[in-house]
Amino acid sequence: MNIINKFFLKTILVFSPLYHSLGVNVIQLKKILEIKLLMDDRRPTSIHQAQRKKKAKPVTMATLGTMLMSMVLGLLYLSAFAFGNNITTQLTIYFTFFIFMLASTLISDFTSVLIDVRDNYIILPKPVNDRTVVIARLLHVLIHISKVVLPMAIPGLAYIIAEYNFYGGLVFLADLVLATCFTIFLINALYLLILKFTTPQRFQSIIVFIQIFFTITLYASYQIIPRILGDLENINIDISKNYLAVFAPPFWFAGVWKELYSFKGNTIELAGFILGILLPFLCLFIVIKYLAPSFNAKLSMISSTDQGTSPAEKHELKAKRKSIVEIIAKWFTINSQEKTGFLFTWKLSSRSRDFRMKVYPSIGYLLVYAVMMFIRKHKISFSEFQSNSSAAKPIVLISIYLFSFLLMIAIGQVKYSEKYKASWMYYITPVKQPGEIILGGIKAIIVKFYFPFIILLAIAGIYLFGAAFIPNLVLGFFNQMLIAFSIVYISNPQLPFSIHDSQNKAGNFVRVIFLLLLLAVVGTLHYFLYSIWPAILVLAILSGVATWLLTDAIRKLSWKKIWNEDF
Amino acid sequence: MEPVISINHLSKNYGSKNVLNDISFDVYPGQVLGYIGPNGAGKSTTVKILCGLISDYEGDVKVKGLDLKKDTSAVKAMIGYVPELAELYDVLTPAEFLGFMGALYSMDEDICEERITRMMAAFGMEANLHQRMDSFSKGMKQKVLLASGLLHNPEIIILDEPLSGLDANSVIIIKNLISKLAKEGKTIFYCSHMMDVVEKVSDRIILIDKGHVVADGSFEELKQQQGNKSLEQIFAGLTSDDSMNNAADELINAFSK
Repeated sequence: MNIINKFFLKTILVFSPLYHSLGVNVIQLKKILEIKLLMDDRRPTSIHQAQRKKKAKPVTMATLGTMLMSMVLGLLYLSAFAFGNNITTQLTIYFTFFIFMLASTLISDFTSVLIDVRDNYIILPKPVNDRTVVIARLLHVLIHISKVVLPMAIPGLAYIIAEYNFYGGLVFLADLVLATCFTIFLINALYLLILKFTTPQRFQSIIVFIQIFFTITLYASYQIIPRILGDLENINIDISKNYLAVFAPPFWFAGVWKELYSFKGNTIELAGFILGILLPFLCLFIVIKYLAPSFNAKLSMISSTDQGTSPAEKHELKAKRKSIVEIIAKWFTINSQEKTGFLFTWKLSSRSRDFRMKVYPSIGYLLVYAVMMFIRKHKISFSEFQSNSSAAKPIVLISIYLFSFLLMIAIGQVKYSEKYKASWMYYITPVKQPGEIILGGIKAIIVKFYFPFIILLAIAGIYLFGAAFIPNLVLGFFNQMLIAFSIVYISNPQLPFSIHDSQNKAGNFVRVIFLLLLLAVVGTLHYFLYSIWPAILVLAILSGVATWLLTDAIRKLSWKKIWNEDF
Repeated sequence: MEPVISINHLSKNYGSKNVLNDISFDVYPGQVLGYIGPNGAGKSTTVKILCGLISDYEGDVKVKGLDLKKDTSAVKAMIGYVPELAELYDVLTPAEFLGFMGALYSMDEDICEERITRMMAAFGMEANLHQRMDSFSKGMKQKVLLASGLLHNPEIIILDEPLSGLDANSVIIIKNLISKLAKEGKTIFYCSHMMDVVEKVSDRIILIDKGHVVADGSFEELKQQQGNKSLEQIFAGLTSDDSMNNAADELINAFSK
């Protein structure tokens, strides 16, 4: 156990006599907390996951990592104070960051860290009394939240003390406690809401979607906020002039600080102050009294496996009509093995959690990036854009080639799975050419994740530039197919979802660099030939033929090339 | 009679570690072969070789006269394998998973679908046919795996601990199924640690230890050789050294000061 956990444990145990008088066995309490904190230390956190950092080494100092990340986030929140010079407005922005980030951290940690169903098998059968268990759980929650909140608050606190005074800092600290209570309530309510409308089994996948949403929003806000701040630096907005602010929770906490620090403020700030003081306590009361009991009971169902015995009455009559996916699969594949790979990959890529967690955020990043690109170039008007091809050229080419990254991430991920051991089924069945299944899988990924974007792009492009756009789009398309298939071919092709994703991060890095280089070369060549359409057409045909040859080579991959005894 | 499986001087090394050491035996159609041995004896290595999962072995393995190394695909098509651990892509539904397996066996889609429905109905799981398997109990997953091993109507069925996680009713179904399949001329290769089950279902038992065959024969023959004991006692007598017999005593003694 590291120093920080020891410190928290010591601090918490200062109140041992109090726990003892509550009927808690303090020695057991200490043991339980020790073990829980030790386990926290070895568990990768949401921030790790969001960063897509691979745990090459076993996680041992997760706590320190979490705290450091929280501190960095806290530093980023300081940008709120650069916004104008109205403290209420600044604090409203600060608390918006604070609540948002705290919520996103808690949302993923709550299930895994705080409500551990294994308790039911490990702790409950032992001679430990209920009070000890309840208090241990509460204290554990408290420590966990402190570990996130304290480092996150330090930069803001330091700023307030430096800019105002010590009393201001004190008020700020109290304010943060209120905001934290409020956030916990928010998460609780959200969890309950989700649990109400879905089965516990689906719960995990919904949480993943929320996490992905948070990650993308975070990325977008880091991209967009500095830009807006840059534009509005000298504009002074007083948010408390707008009565709608009363409906924004972050404003309440700004109101609390303003009122308690200066003892003066307008009516709206006063309203915020009252809400900010009252609601967290009200929320806390509701959480403890009403939500927590049913919440724990419901959460404990999440990972229990006996759920499945509930029969699926509704599904029984599902007719055997061909689904759209099957029709699409028929179009794009030439034989049944390929089609099998296509359908399998299509289904698993929408259902497997680790695949979604890795690929979906990058779709979001790319969309944010694409939007940013057009905001940045907003000085070119549309008519200019249409008529002046030299200004439009780079943007068009970037739009065409941008989605290679998405394609690469999805294709790079398709061979990995947490359930890689289930790949025994490829090996025991008489599959003569595993290459057919691999090719089917790659095609599924291309159709599913790349086609929608390229079709949208085609529509937009033809609308803007007319038919002249088509040759360039076709060349860009085939070039990307060529690059995608050649990267599949040269970088250890494997059956879909058949190997464990822990090894070569170095290989991944090399692949990205290789991709960048290829794109740079291809894109530059394309740039110079952009308006010479016969050349573009010839190259497109050549590129298409090369792609076709390459798919054939992948189809012919033999067992010898992909053999892998890791199942 | 022509043997279905013919293993001659089979050896397998992992580096310097010798897992299988010159194993030879023949299996005939309609036989239920109980293949037993202690942990690490080489059971699962044998099974993996038979299923075509391991190809770099020494010696000869023939299935219905076909060399496993040369005609791997043809051999795989004749074998149905039910793996020990319920490792499957559990975000799929049984219908999807089994359909996918059928496609890998190049089965006709309609036949495959009809069989899947009937087999799952026989297991009492028709209501779960379109439910994702991540919510299934171990026993339900095991039933899906069993169906996946029988789906293409194979000549040889390799079962690796097929009863794990099944309730008593399902165990009876599987035991009956095994004897019915054997009557139809199918060959069953049954690996298990549950000696009482092996004793009852198999008409021939092969006991391996440290990569060698140490006993081979029907349960009756083994009893004649080893004295009138249960299979469990025969197993212990052949594979454990004396230290094992004292283990229980030592465990009890751990309490004394």
